[in-house]
Amino acid sequence: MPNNILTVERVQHTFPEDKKKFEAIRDVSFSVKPGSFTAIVGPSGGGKSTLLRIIAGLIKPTGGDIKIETNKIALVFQNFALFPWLTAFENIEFGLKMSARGGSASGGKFLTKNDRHKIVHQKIAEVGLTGFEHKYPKELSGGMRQRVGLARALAVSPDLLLMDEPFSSLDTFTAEKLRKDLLDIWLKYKMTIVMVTHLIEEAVALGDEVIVLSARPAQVKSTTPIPLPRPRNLRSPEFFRLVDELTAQIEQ
Amino acid sequence: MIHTSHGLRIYRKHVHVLIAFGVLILPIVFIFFGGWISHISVRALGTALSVSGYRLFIAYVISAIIALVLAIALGQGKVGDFFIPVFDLLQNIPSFALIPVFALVWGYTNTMAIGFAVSAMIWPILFYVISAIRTAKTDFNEAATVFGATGWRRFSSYLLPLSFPALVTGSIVAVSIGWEAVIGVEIIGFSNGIGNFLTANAGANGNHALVFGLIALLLIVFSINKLIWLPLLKRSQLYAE
Repeated sequence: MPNNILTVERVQHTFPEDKKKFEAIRDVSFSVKPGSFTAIVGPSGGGKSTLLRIIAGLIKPTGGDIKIETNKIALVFQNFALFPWLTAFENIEFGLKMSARGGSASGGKFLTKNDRHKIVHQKIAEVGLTGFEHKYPKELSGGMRQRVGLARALAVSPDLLLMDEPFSSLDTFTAEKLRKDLLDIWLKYKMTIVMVTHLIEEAVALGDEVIVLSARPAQVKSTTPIPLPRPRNLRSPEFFRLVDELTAQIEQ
Repeated sequence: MIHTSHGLRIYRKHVHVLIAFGVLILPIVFIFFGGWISHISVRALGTALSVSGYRLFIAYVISAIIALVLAIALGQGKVGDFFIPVFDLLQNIPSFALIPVFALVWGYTNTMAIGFAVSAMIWPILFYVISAIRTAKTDFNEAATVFGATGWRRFSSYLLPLSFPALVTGSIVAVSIGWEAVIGVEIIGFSNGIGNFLTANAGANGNHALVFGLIALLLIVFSINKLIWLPLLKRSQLYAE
């Protein structure tokens, strides 16, 4: 087992905007241990989502290096990114259909249609969507759509799960419920999660470690371990102390 | 063209099937009955419509395939930034000005009529599909990439369904242009087809054949609209968020 599943080394990224360059990320370095839950916080527009997309391989950084010790990566999007022409079931199945071989859930063997359907049914049950699998995204609430997004990511048995502000489009109650479900799933599968959020409380509630990024261009201000026991007491003095500490770091 | 999990289950109720049946039968009944009353050669009219319909259908299939391939291969990203102005320039060439060129190459044959119709029909499909692909949410593109949609799978499972509403809308416009192109070129230089039928019967026998020909043509266009385009447009609403 490698020491780090993800190593970000001096990554920088500049967007070419016509003739004027736009520096989004400057010299960001950090590493993530396998099986951990890392939260990345920072001000809006600071480059957090850009960084996540660089890690996901969607954007090639203009400088630096990303080392990932797995090719089983999945991404949960802020605005769900569900294909409107597919039902919930088909959206969850999408990643399985695209890959020639299954993930660890199948032991690496080629997945038949029955295998895929079995996995999808399992994920539907895990995220609490039984009975809604044949609905289209437009027929589902925001919370349900994000559950589909999460199930789609989990279906490919990722070693590294990237989450881009996954709860920010949801109401407070739905977000809270989904956070609990996410933690249950994470504790069950122990995959590595890297989650971008702009909510410090959320980062402290979920993460083993919180990386604070500065405003644009994003740079690492601090990396703070969260030694609170699980399940987290969100009203403990230690919790509030950590939230205050991280808030102060962002505001500096 | 339509995602396999839905098939073409557009006609779900008996009333849909009845309407479809009625709409299909109506032009045929009209042609026979009207032709019988007016002593018009129903056979000649039916043949003329069939010949033009055949040319239009083949031209549409070719146009749709070429437009889809060009849109997906050359319409995206920086490649698209280069080719879209080129396509824009080409589509501005007045299509009827190309008739002598097509006639020179192929003579006044089916191939010529089909080729000319393709040169006119391809553009609305191409631009509608390019627009759909380029204005698609970035998230969709990213999700397709992250979950491994590459090569043929990216085309069949992502780009094609993404383009479906645009393909339908573009096809409706294209077929309308196609009728114009096919009938126009038949009027100019063909001895068959509905264009030739209408021209040949203009001014003859009190214009009965001309009027019936036009009405029959309108009924065919109406039937295609009712039986094919409207159901597909309704289905394509599923593809919108």
